[in-house]
Amino acid sequence: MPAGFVLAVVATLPPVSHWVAGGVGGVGVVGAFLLLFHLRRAVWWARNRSDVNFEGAGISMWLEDWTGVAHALLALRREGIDDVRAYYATRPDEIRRLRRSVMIRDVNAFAVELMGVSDKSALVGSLDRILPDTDDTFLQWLVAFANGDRFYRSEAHITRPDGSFVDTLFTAALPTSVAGFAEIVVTAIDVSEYKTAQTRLMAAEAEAARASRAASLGALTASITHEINSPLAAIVSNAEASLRWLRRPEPDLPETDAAIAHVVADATRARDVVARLRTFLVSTPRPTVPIDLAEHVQAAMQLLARDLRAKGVSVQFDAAEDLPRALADPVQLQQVVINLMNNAAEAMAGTAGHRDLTVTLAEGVDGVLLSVMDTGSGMDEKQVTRIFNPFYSTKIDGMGMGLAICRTCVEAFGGRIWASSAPGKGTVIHVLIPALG
Amino acid sequence: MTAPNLPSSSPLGPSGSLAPAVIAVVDDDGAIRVALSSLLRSMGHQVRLFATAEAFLADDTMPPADCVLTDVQMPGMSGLELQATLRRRMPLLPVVVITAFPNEAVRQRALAAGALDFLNKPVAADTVSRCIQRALERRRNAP
Repeated sequence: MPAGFVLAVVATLPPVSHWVAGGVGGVGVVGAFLLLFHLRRAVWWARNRSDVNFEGAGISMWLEDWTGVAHALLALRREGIDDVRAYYATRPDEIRRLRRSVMIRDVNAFAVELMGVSDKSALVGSLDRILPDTDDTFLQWLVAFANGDRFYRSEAHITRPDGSFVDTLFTAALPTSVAGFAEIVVTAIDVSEYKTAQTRLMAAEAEAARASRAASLGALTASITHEINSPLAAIVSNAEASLRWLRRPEPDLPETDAAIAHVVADATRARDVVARLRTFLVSTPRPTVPIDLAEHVQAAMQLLARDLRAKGVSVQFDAAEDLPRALADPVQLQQVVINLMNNAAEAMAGTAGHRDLTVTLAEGVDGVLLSVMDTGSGMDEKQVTRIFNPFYSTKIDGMGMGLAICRTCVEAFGGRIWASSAPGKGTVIHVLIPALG
Repeated sequence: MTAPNLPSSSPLGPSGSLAPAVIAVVDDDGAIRVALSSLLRSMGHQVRLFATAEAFLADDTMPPADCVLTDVQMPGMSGLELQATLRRRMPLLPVVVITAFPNEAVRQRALAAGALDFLNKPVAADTVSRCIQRALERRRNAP
């Protein structure tokens, strides 16, 4: 812990204070001068040693003033609001105000290098300038403070003054008093390369899963084509043959009779194929298992993190405590969440203001309620009633299948999906997922 | 409804000078064999039915047929392999490939390997009729 390391250096001072105590008592004025000289030198040495540690550490260090946050959290406590996460998750503007209030007071040389600036003065100022709107770690900071945690560690995607991004892993020792909020030492290391590799891996996994679904869909289509086309081919040939037998100058009735009997048999066979397909595709429900929805929603968010950032969307997530485990097919559920988040992001693509995507999990009447809220342009009542219909889309290039598929998936595990929207304000998609008792 | 071409006593139309043609149908689907058989016979042809490509190749009737109609996907030897074998053994025997699973790659391969035609199931009677006529004319005009 670099912050702790600085404290450890200061703690090597006690020998000096012993000299002071001993000197003043026993050696007199000259000795006192000498000792004062020693003391000054020791203090100078200690200050420079800590400078050496701050400046020379092979890690970027940031001295930050979080006093504004301390006061805001204290105010919340006075009002009796305990659940800081729930409070701020639905108040993105408040979060932005607090983030602006955090001041970077000093940084070390390594931070200057990490941020690609020539001088530390380019970094001193509001935290708002380096922590972009799309960052979702700030709320976690607030929760850690409110919980009275000793340390906070997280990843953050921060903005360099030149506009480029850097993924960092940072740590801070959290203060134990309000005064301590004025000098919080944050250390950060650049993990961009690891993150890029991790993202590539996740994208490759997602692509593999998609390809395998597409492949099985392709194989299924081929098999259906073959299974249906074969009896159809026999029906067409038999029917045409019977016409030809019948239209001969001397109609051949036994051949006509036989061909028509085959038409009936082949049609029956085609009907059986369709019945088998229905059983296979529709009636067989995918097994539902008890799942931790928060975990699945966060996994979906992680998968989309880069896309959402690129679209300038800032994501907030809040899950009520002690939620029951939901009963759903994990694969389909993930598809639903990804679909809804993508839709929300696309709904905000043309929005001039902040693009806030808020996902919440709460206990519903008979299940867990997932809400995906955007600050897009919203829809009128007529549109809202139609968005779950197949081939209906509010997007110019939309297929109109996303929400229809979501509804099929949700209904397959016994849930419900509906929307509420206010033109000009945004849309909320609600999904009620059955839960264990 | 348009009246289909009424077959005369000879399958080869007004000239009536040729004997009925023998068409071999190779398909593993029994219902398809029966249906094609009825259709081809209603057109005045004689029909020989085979459930596998191997059975057709093992048959020692000479000549085996005037034209072969074969399915593509069959257990054992496929329709394309049968076509390749026949091209070597009996290069003048016209082969028409019919499939229930249309696939552009297979179609290209079949036509490149000299198939007279590549038809998709279900196939219209008129199409089969025209195709067979073409096959027989080609056979007749062959040196």
